[in-house]
Parts: sequence; C-alpha cells; structure tokens
Amino acid sequence: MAKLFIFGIGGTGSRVIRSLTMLLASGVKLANCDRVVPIIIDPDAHNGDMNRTVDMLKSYQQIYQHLGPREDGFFQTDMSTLSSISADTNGGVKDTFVFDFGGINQSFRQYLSYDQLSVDSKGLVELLFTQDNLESPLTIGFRGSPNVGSIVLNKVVESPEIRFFADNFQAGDRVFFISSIFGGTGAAGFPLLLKNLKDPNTRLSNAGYLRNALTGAVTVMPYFALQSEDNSVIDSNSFLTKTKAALSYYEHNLQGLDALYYLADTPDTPYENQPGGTAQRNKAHLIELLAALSVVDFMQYSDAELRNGAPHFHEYGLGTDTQDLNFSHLPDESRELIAKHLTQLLYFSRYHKQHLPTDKAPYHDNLNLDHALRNEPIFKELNNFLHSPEYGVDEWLKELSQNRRSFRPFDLTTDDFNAMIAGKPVEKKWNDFFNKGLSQNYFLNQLNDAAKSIHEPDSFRKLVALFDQVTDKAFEEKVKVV
Amino acid sequence: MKGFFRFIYELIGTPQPPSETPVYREVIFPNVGLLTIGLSLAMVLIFYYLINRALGVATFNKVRHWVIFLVVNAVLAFVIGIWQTNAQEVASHSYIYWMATWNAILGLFWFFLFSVLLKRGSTNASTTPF
Repeated sequence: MAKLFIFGIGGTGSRVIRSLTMLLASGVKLANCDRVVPIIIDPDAHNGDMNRTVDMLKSYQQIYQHLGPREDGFFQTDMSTLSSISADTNGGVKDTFVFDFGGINQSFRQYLSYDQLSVDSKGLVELLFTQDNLESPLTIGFRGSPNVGSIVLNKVVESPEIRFFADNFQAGDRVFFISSIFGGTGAAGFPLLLKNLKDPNTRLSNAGYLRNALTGAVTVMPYFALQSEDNSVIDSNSFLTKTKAALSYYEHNLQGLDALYYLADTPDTPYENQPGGTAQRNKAHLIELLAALSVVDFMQYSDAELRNGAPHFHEYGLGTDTQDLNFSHLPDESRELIAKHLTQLLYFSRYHKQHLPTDKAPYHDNLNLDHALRNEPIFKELNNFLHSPEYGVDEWLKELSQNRRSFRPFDLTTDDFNAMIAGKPVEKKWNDFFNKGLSQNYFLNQLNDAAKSIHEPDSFRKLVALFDQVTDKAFEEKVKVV
Repeated sequence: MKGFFRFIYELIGTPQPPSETPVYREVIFPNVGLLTIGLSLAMVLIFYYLINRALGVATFNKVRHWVIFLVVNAVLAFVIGIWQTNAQEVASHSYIYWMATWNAILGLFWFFLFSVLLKRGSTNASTTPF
C-alpha cells in the first residue's frame, strides 16, 4: 500500500494543501498511491491559513473514513494523519496533520541562548542575524527570514514525528515537498528537510528506503505582494532578491530530488501585510491550485519515468495570459484534469445547499434525509466541508474568483445550473418542451432514478454515491466539454 | 364476472325501477365496472409511469398532484355511470345518480388500489401518496 507523504511547509504549504484537498474531494485521482499523509510544518501555531487547512483536513478525513475506499468519485483518496499510518506511535506522535513544535514560546535570542554564548559566537550570530531577527518571537514563525528558519527547523529532523515517519516509511512510498521560496519557513524548511532525509549518514531508520524514495517538490516563487508598511518586518520588495539567493543555493544543494516544479506569477493587488498569526489568512489563489496540480502530475509518472533522467524540472504556462481566468484559459491537460471534477463538486455543493434540505422526493425519503440532515454528525460534517465560511468549498471557490489573478470558472452568483460554468451555458433545445437543461427537475429525476439503482444500506455513502453519479451524468449529458 | 359486478354495485341496493334490473345486471354493471377499472388503471399508469417516469417530470409527484388525479378519476367514473345508463336507454330514475355516485366512490377505491400496487415502479412518485 504505497503512501505519499506531503510536507507542506509554511503558509504556502498550508494553502496548497487546501487546494489539493479540494481537488481530491472533487474526485481528482492521485495515481500510484493509496494514501496521502499531509504533514504541515509551520511553527506559527495560530496561523490563519494553517488552522483552516487543518480544520478542512479533519473534515475530509472524517468524511473519507465514513465512505471508505472506492474506485472513484468524491472523496476517493485516503488522507490520513501521520500517527494513523501505524498503531505503534509510542505515544510521542499526536493524531494531527500539523507537526508539533511544542509551542516555541520565546524569542530567537532566547532560543539560541544568546546571553550564554561566548563573545566570538555572539559576534558570529550578529553577523548572520539582524537585531530584529534576534528579538522576533518564534510563536508567529520566521517572518520571512530563512536564516532564522534554518536554525529552528533543525529541531524537526530530530523530532519524534520525523522518527515515526522514517520508521513507517516503506519501499514504494513517495515524498513531496510544498514550499515557497521567498518567505521564511518554506525557503528554509524545504532544503533542510530534503538534505536530512537523503543524508547517507542519517540516524533515521529505513534510511535506504528514504534515500531511494521518489521525491518531488514544488517551490513557489513570488506570486503576491504585500502592502508596504514602514514598521512591518516583511517587505515584499525583497521577495525577488530572496528568491534569487535561494535559487542559487538550490542550484547546487538540492540532492535527491526526482522532480522539481517551479511556479510564479506577477503580483497584482497586494495582500494585507500580516507577518503571521490568526490574521495571516490569505484568499485562495490560482497559483496554489496549480501547485496542487503539480502533486497530481508528479504522481502520474511511473517510477521508471521519474528515475530516468532525474531530476525533471517543470514550469507552468497558462493557455492565455489574462487576469480573469476560466477553464478555457487553462492548457488542455489541466482543463481535462480538473474541469469536470470541479464542475461536479460545484453542482453537488450548490444542490446540497439550495435544494437538498427542502426536496420532497423518493430519494429523500429513501435516505431518510429529513432526520439525517438534522441529527447525524457525518451529514453535518459534509455540510461543513461544503459550506463552512472558514474553509468550505463555496468559500474556496469564492476566494479564487476574488483574488488577482482571479480564477473564475463558475458564476457563483447564479442559482441557475445552466449558467454556472462561465462562458459555457448549457444549451436548451427550443423545440423540446421537456428539456430545460440542468433544472432542479433534471437533478430530481436523476437522483430518484439513481436511488433505485444504487444498493447501499448506509445513507451517507448512498448520498455521496448518488451525487457522484448524477453530477457525472449531468456533465456528460448536458455540458459535455468545457 | 357479472356476479362480481352485480355484488359490488348492489351493495347500495337493487337497481330502480325494478323493471330495469336485468339490463343493469346483464349490461350496465359489467360495462361500468370494466370501464371504471380500466379508467383507474389508465390514470394510475399516466401518473406513475408516463409523467413520473417516461417523461422525467420530477416536480409533479406530491400528494396534492396525486389527489388531483384521484378526483379527476372519480369525476370521470361518475360520468361513465351516467353515460352507460343513457346508452342503454333505461328509464329515468334517481337511482342512476346514486349508481353513478357509487361508481365514483369505487373509482376512488380502484385508483387507490392500483396506486399502492404500482407506485414502486415509478421513478419520481414511488413514495406517493405515502
């Protein structure tokens, strides 16, 4: 049972995992693995981006655990916490998607025990770190300073989590790193983790498997800017300089990678300048969705393809360079990969919100939805996953459409299913009285029909299977291509 | 067959005037009975299998829609009763209206019976009326 371990490092890591989870929820397949184990590495325990990603992952996990393994459809991929891959955790690994830093409740100066250092060592520290670096509290991460991150993140390699990860690493498992190159945590964490996992002298168990494991990474170069503030510790004008410095390091020091994906974009509207904490909660961005696609792409390659001529380098180009993208602006390969699945997820989410609670139909009675929607926790969890204003599907699509560049494949303001795909309305035949395209009647008829043919005693599993089948048919019959 | 229809139509009493009893028993009761059963079956098939399956209409499946068909079926059953007695040119008598009304009630019964028996085969009304 091959696993994919994904290290999502820093705020970008969390945001890309959010997009990946959405893709997997929509039914996008991850080839060559049976289970995904996301590990978010971010010392900023209150980071808004991270916390909502973790909430969403927990929600996904609960839904998957109820649904169980399936060949295809919504939520088909198993996403597990690190501790859940083996029963033997020795009590040292918490059942969470986040690496446990144990609350670094001190400044970088205290972390280094600066006051106890010799004069010479203090001199070296002052050469490498600014006063601001030394005084910065580590509780909100490294605030765009990879030199700080590279020191603190060394703790990760000696942690019980990484030892547990190594203990349970098997032949055939793969590793993928997600990080940004222009910040603090990701820029420092990615090369550090890679170096330690591939180190021939490592003290980790299964070192041979780790060294030979197929390893990929996506490194996100600057794609947003921050509002300029005189007293802010992060200045987005330095992003490019930091990127160039990191790239020159990567050029000679990334050993053991089989595939590396580069992504970047020209910043448009600057984000609010929040160095960390709960306030660092950025809107979902197209780049994060494309970074998530790099994981899907990496997993599509066979072992032989990846090993032959490694490392492979990938960049991404849009079909059309525009600020407001829909499906037609994506290259064919990306469009074929996500358009149908995301459309199905949208139809599911919209029908779930607009009609499901009030439908009076045989499928509704068959699933006893009047009772289930009000009382059963798993139905409430699905409601959260789809509609939570914090991390739900609706919110994610809305944020993608509001960001710059915007990814706006759907008209989220309409209730008409026929008009939901931007630039691709469903055609209604004028001479066919009963053909109203994707009407509520259409969905009701298909749901009632499917409810008769799907023999599944569990009402939640049946509900998801119903919507998977019906939205698939709706796309194939009425939309066809986008 | 004639015995069966004679039984159910004479539950409200023997035909009036007595001189027309043979016509009722030999012709009218079987005709009205068979036509009413056929009508009720047709109405049920239209509601459950034509509208709520073949045509794919999924929003005409509520109890109120079923009741519309039920009432229309009863009215048509009443009309069948009047029509058949007129066709046989039986003597005018208030019994005709009692018999037609009874036939409307029987129409309600047949429609309900066929609904219960056949609703499962419908896509969109398999839980109508309950």
